[in-house]
Amino acid sequence: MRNFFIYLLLSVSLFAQENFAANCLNCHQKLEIGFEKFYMQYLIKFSTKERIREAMFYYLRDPKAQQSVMEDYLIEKLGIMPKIGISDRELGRMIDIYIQRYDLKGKLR
Amino acid sequence: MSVSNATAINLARSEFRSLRAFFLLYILLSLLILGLLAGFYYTYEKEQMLSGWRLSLQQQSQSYLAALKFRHDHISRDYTYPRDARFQSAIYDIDRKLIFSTLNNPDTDLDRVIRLDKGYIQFVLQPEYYYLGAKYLVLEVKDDALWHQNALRTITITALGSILLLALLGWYIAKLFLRPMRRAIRLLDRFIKDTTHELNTPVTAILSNIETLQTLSLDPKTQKKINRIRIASRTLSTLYDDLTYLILHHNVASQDEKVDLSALLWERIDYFHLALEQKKITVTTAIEASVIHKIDRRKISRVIDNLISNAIKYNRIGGSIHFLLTPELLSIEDSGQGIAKEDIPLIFDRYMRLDKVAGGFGIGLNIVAKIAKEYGLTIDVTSELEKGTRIELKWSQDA
Repeated sequence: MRNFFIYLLLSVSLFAQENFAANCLNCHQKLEIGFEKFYMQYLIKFSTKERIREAMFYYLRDPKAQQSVMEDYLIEKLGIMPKIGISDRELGRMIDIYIQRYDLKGKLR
Repeated sequence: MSVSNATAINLARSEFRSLRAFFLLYILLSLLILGLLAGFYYTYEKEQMLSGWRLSLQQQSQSYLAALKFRHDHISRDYTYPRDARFQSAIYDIDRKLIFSTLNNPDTDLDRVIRLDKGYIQFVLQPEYYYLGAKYLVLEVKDDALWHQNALRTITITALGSILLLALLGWYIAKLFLRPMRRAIRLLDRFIKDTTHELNTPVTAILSNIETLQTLSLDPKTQKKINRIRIASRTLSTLYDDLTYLILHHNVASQDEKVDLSALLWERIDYFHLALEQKKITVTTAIEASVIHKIDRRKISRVIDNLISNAIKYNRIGGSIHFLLTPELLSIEDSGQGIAKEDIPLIFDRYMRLDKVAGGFGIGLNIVAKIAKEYGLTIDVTSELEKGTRIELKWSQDA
């Protein structure tokens, strides 16, 4: 039974990571700006990961230039990302993976 | 023989109490004001020091903010938190949660721009941008405490100077405060001196004539009148002796000799027998024979006379007096009106008269206390209102 649960968790995690790659990384890796740069832009504006999550969720549901944290010249150069066709729940999960990957907590030394 | 010192003023207990209360209040108020001023000065010095550090840290923070910005912009290359040799630092997010810290004192107060705590000065600033997520940046330096030492030195020197000045001022005020009292006592002393001087001739004349008067041949009614005059003249004589002692003798060296106190006490009881008879006072005695002490005869006579005189004066009609004499103790116990417990310490004060009806100058027991002090005798007073008073004079063992 225990082995079953471990297997289940790993499967879910693996599935979520695959979704994150498909929904987010595939596009962002093609851009000349690192994926981390976006996080630091959010961080300089919102300070905590809870506030970042909230702001990011709001933006990704319906991306608009007015709500973007990126500098104007980058918006002009790269444009605004298209709307992602995933559920709110799935979007939330993708954002959590993103924050977990780039949050500074425990990394500063 | 100088009499100028005879009028020297001895402040009585109640006056000393007033003076002590005044000084206590004066000292307390002075210390309170000095303490407040010292507190203000210390706080001012501390604020000055913090103000200096605030300016300095504000300037130093500019270069540090640039370092934070650089780290924020290039975080992917290096996660090393920027450090500065001039101070320690910490960053907090918008929810006041710690992001990273190198502080020695972890207890920070983000609401206070600058403060001193546990020997460290902490300066809090809020950068325009949240570099690394930092809403609050805390810079910390160690306090060298030089300002503290300087402030304490200044406070100590100023306080000592002020205390000295205030003490001198207090002494001057106390003298002003006592001046009317001293003037009144001096006037009273002068009055007594003048009165005593004027009494000398008439008292001597009355005493010498009344004592030599032969009353046996007179009818009983006249004898009674003569006896009353004799009692009055002896009372006058006791008073005169007291006043003379007060003005002259207590500043004169004692002429000590071996005095048979037993004989002297009998003699003095006999001297007062007319007054005792007049008040129908019963005398009981337990006087040991040949109790001898080396003492000035006139002075011990004044002590005995005053104690007997008081025992008669404050006794009731038909009362009693018990005399006890041993080599260690002279005790005179009356059955008079007694003295209230709180008044007992006051009875030896000069010019103190607890009973305003009985009259007198209030100098008798003061003389007793002075002579007792001169010879190291202890005076014990036991008294109960409406029952009586016992005064014991005790000689020390080595006397």
